[in-house]
Amino acid sequence: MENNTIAKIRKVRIPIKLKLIAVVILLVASSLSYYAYFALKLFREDKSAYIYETGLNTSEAIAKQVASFLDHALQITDYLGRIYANTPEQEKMAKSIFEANKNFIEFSIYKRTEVDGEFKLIFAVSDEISLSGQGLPVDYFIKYSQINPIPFLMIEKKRRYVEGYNPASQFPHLVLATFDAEKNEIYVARVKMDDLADLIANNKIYEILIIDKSGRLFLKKNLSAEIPQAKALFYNSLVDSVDRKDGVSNYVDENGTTFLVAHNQISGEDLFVFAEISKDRAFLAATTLMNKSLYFGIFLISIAIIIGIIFSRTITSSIEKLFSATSTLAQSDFKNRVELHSHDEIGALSDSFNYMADEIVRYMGQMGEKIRLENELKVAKLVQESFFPANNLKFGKLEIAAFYEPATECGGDWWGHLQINGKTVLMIADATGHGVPAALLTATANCSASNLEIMAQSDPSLLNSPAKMMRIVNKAVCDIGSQILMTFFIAVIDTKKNELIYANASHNHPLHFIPGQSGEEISKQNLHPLMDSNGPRLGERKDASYNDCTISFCSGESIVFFTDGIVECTNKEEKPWGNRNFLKSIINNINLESDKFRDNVVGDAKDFFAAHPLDDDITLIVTKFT
Amino acid sequence: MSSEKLVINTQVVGNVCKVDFIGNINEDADFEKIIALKMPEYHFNFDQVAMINSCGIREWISLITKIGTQATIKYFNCRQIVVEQINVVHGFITDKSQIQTFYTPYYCDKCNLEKQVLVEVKSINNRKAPAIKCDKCSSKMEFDAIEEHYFSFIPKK
Ligand SMILES: [Zn+2]
Repeated sequence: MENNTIAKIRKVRIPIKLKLIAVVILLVASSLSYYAYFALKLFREDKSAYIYETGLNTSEAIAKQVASFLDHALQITDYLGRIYANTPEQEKMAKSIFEANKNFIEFSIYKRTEVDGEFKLIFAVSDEISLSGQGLPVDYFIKYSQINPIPFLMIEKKRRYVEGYNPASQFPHLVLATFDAEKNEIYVARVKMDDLADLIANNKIYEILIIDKSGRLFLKKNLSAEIPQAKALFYNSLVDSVDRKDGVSNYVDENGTTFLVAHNQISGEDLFVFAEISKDRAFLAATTLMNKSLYFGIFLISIAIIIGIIFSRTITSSIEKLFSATSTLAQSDFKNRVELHSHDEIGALSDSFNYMADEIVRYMGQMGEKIRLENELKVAKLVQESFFPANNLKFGKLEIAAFYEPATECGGDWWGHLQINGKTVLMIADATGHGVPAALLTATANCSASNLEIMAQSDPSLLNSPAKMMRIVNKAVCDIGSQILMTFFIAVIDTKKNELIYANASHNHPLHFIPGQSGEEISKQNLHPLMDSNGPRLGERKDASYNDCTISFCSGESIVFFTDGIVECTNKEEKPWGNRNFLKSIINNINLESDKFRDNVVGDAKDFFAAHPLDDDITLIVTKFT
Repeated sequence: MSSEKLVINTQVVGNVCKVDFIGNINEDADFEKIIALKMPEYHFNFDQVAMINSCGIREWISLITKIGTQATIKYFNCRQIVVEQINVVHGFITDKSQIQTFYTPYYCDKCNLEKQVLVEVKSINNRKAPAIKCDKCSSKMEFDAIEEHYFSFIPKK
C-alpha cells in the first residue's frame, strides 16, 4: 500500500528552478538583443551619415585653406613682378619682399623678346640659405628650369598657373606663375610645400591628397610613397566626372579594404582635395561601441542569470519544502508541517497544506473513533443476537419458524418465547425506529421476559393473563423513561387445551389461518387478524391497561406474527412490498412445513427488495399447530 | 421524505374547527396550534396525508389525549394509512371520535390497477366492502385488504 502511494509520485525531471532561470534568461536575452539590434542599427546609420559629412567637411576645409594659400602666394608673386622695374632701388625692394616671405625659395621674371617672341629670363632671386640647407647650389632652379621647362604658353593663356609636386625636383616645391600682358612678362615663384604639407599632415584622421585635373599629383602627405595605379585611376575617374565638384565615394582596394573618399575642388583652380579614410577606421567608434554593447549585454545576461538563480531559489526552496512535506505525508508521516513565511501563494499553499495535514490527522482520529464505534456496534449486535431464540423450534404440537433481520447492526425488533408448565409464551415487539436506541429497548424486553419466566414459575396463574404480563413489561419500559415506545404482542399457547390467550400493545395484528372446507380455495377470508385485544404502546403511560382475548385453534391451523418491516420495506423504486403481496405469499405457502413457509415468504419479500437495503427491521414468526 | 414538515391549515366556522393535514405525520409534526384553539369540535381532513411513522403516532396520540377528552373529533377522508393506524394503534382515536369518511383500497388483478374509493362509514354494512367496478375492464375489483380487519374500527351493527 505505502509503496504504491510513493510510486505514484512522479520523478521531477525539469525542476521549476531551471524553468524559472530559463524564462528569466530568455526574457532578458531576447529583449536585450531586440534593443541592441535596433539601437545599433540606428546608431550605425547615424554614424555613417556623420562620417560622410565629416569627410566632406574636411576636404572642403582643406580645399579652402589651400585656395587661400595659393591666392596669397600668387598675389605676392604678381606683386613682386609688377614692382620690379630694373632700377636698383626697386630691385632691392623686391629682394626684401622676397626675403620677407620665407616660403619663397626662388622668384624669376621672364620677358618676351621682340626678336623671336620667346620668354627670356630677365631677373631671378633665390633663397640661398634654404637651398644650401638642402645641399643645393644657389643656381639650382635656373638649371632645373632648363630641364623642366616652365610652360610659358599655358601661363600666358591662363594668366595664372599653379604646379604641384614634381618628383624630378630635389627640393619639393610649388610653382606659381602670373602673366602681365601689358609688360609681356611672366613672373614665376617657387614656393616651399612645408605649410601645405603641414596642413595635410595635421589631419590625423583622414589621408589627404591633392590632384590636378589631368590626374597629376599636386600634393600629399607622404610624397615619396607612390599612389597605387588602381587608386590613381579611381581618383581620375572622380576628377573627370564634371558634375561632381564635391562628393563622397566608396573605393575598394585590391586587398578588399573599403575606403570612404570625400573630394572637393579647390576654388579657382583645377585642383581637387581628396580626404580618404578606411571604412573600418571610420566605423571604429561604432564597432567599438557595438562590441562594448555586446559585452555589456553579456554582462547584463550574467546578472540576470544570477538574479534568476537567487530569485528562483527563494521561490523553489519554498516549493521544495512543500514537495518534501507532501512526500513525507505520502509516506504516512503525518507529523510533518511546513513553515514558510512568504506572503505569497506558496505561503498560503503551505498554510493549506498544514491545514490539510491537520484535517487528515483529525479525520484519521475520527475514523479511528468510527471504527471503534463500529466495533462496539458489532459487539452490541452479538449481544443482541443472544436475545433471540433459535429460528426453528418445536414444542409438542407447536412448530415455530422465525426470521429476524435488522436494518442496521442493531435492530428495534425483538421476539422471544417462554416454556412454562407445558405452555408456550410467544412475544413479539417493535420499538419505534431502529438502530442502537431501539436496540437498547429490546434488551429491556428480553430482560422483562426473563423476569416473567421467574414470576410465572412461582405464580402459574400469570400464564392465564398475558394482559397482566403486558402491564409488567410496560412498567419496565416506562421506568426507562426514554422517548422510545414499543409495540408488544404476547400470546400464551396451550396446546393441551388448543387455546391461545393474547394481549396486544398496539402491535400489528397477527394473522390466524383457519382452513375452510376441504377442497375450498384458500383466500384472505381464511386469515383472521387477532385484533380483539388492544392497548397503548409500551412506554406510553404507566397506568395503561390491556385486555386478554382467548381463541381456540385446531390442528392444521397457523398464526403468522410479524412486525411492520416486512410490508413497509421498499425496493429501489421506493415501492413497499405491501400488504397485498404479503397476504398473497402467506396464502401461497400456508400449507407448507413451517420452516419452508417462512423461507418462502421471506424469499418473496427479498426478491421484491432485490439489492435495496432494508429500511426497517424485519421479523416474521410462523407458528403451526400440528 | 420525513424532512418535509407537516402543514396544518385550520379554519374556524362557528363551533367547529376544520383542520387540513398536508404531508407527513412524523416526529416533526407540531400540533400546538390545534391544541391552543380549544374548540369544542374538530373536523380533521386527512385527504393529503402521505405518511405516518411511529414517531408521528406518538405525537398524534399526545394531541388526541390533550383535546379528545373535551372536544368531539370527526375524521374525514381518512387515507388507508390512517385507517390502518386507527385499527392497530390504541389511542389513535378516542371514544368520542367519529370517523365520517375514509378511503377503501381496491385492486384489479387483470389490469394491475389500484384504486382508492372514498366511502362514508354509515354506508358500510357488516364490515363488507362495497362492490366497485374496474375503470378499465369493468370487472369487479378485489378489495385490497382483509375486510374484517380493515373495517374493524366500525362498530358491528
Ligand atoms: Zn380491470
